[in-house]
Amino acid sequence: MTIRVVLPAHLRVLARVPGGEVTVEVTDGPTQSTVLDALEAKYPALEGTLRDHVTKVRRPFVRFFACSEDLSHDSADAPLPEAVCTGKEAFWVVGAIAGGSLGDQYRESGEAGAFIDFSQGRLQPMSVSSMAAERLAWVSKIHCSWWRR
Amino acid sequence: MTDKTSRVRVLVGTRKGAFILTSDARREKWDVSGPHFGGWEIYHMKGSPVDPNRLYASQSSGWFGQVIQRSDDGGQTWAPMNNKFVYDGVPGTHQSHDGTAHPWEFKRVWHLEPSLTEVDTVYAGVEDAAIFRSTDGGTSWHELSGLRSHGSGPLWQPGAGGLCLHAIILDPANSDRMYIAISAAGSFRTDDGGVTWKPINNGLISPFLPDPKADVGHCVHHVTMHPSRPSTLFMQKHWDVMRTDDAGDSWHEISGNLPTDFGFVIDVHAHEPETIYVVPIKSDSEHFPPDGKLRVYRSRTGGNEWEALTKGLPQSDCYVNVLRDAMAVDQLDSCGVYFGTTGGQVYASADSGDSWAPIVRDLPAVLSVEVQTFV
Repeated sequence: MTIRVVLPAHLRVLARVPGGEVTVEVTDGPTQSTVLDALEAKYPALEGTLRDHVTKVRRPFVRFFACSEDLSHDSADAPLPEAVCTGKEAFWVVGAIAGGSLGDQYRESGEAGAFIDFSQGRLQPMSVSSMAAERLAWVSKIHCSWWRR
Repeated sequence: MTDKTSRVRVLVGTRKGAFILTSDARREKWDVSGPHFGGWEIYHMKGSPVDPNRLYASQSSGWFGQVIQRSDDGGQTWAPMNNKFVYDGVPGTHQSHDGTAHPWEFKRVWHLEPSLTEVDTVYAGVEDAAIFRSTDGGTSWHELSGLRSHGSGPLWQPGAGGLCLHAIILDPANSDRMYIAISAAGSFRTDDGGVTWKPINNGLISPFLPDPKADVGHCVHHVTMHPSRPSTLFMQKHWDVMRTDDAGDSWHEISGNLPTDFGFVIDVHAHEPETIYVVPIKSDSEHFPPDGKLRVYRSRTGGNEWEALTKGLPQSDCYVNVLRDAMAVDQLDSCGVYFGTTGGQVYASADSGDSWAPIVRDLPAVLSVEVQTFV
């Protein structure tokens, strides 16, 4: 089946994929492992940039999201959400400390790693103009906690 | 021989990308290409002496790890190569900053040293400290594990920048001989092409060590050599500028009249093997030039007697640093000397250091500078 994957800007440049999303084909039940295997097979330049070459452990500042949920700490062999398997939702690779483009730019370019609203536990790209200073501080605090993990 | 067609290419690695600067032999006007790999740290770029259009670049990121890039057309286009650096066997442990045992973990490539004779052979000095070799142009990497496993590895400890192997020097007269330097372990030499290694730190004194004259544990910042005298090495240690004339078997201090002998870079004039350059830095706790004056010091006597070179360099309110791999020389008749700063300037002298000018001044912090000469 076809899995949609959203990559952060740096990795899109490295893999030489100009668009906002890539797709990979995965047989059987898609998991983080099988999706990443397929991603690395299709784009060898990404090997080692998302997870360790040997241990396959996720790099500390790389996060995985789908369907508004943080999957980063799920088992790499756990089935991905049904909506990802059907192509309704994408599997997101996000650099910790979200940053990069603003919400509007995200909508135009498909930029990954945009400002993201986690306050509702949902993956919601936002425009910075709508983000109150307190919210920004709160998001920053959350992200800082990621750094320390 | 310098002529009208001679030119130089300066490879600059920065915190946020790579830049390639080119000029003719006058070295007055510079074209700037870049940023290449924008947003990534470029610890080092270097060209092959066999084919100068073959360039290797170490690209890394705290998020996405290590990438090795290769260009076969002088930096116009690049291709990512293999980035799989796996230590041989069970990696073991080195010392952490607090002296506890810490497992060896690959972090990044600090230095790439292309072979003097084989275009597809290149060496990589990495953090945590080890040396790797590729004999297929970066398609695969294999550790020369005799260095890390020769016995003193558990005593190595990271400097402030990490436990990095940052200097690789190939002996042009003896293909089996190489020198490397690690911060903070010291210098090592192989005489059998990298199979076995021995520490060459006799004469180094590091007061921070329990035994200041220990075989290993010294924080060597940089080592350089003139190709015509492969048994003579010059070293900028954490503190102290040092020299050996017996391939590292013994070192002696040549700090002489330097205002401070702390620093990072050291290099040798292209045509005068007894002319060397350093950039004194105030101290290990204040990484900027003394008195806010950016001064290159030159010795024409192989050390001990140093003169300050200031013409064209800022002599007030300058508080940049010059990192260990950020100085290089060209091969033109009037030797050019180049260095980059953490303030994003790259300074060049086309007259062996007598006068200087910034050839680019607002780059991200400069991590490395290499120069290629085309005559």
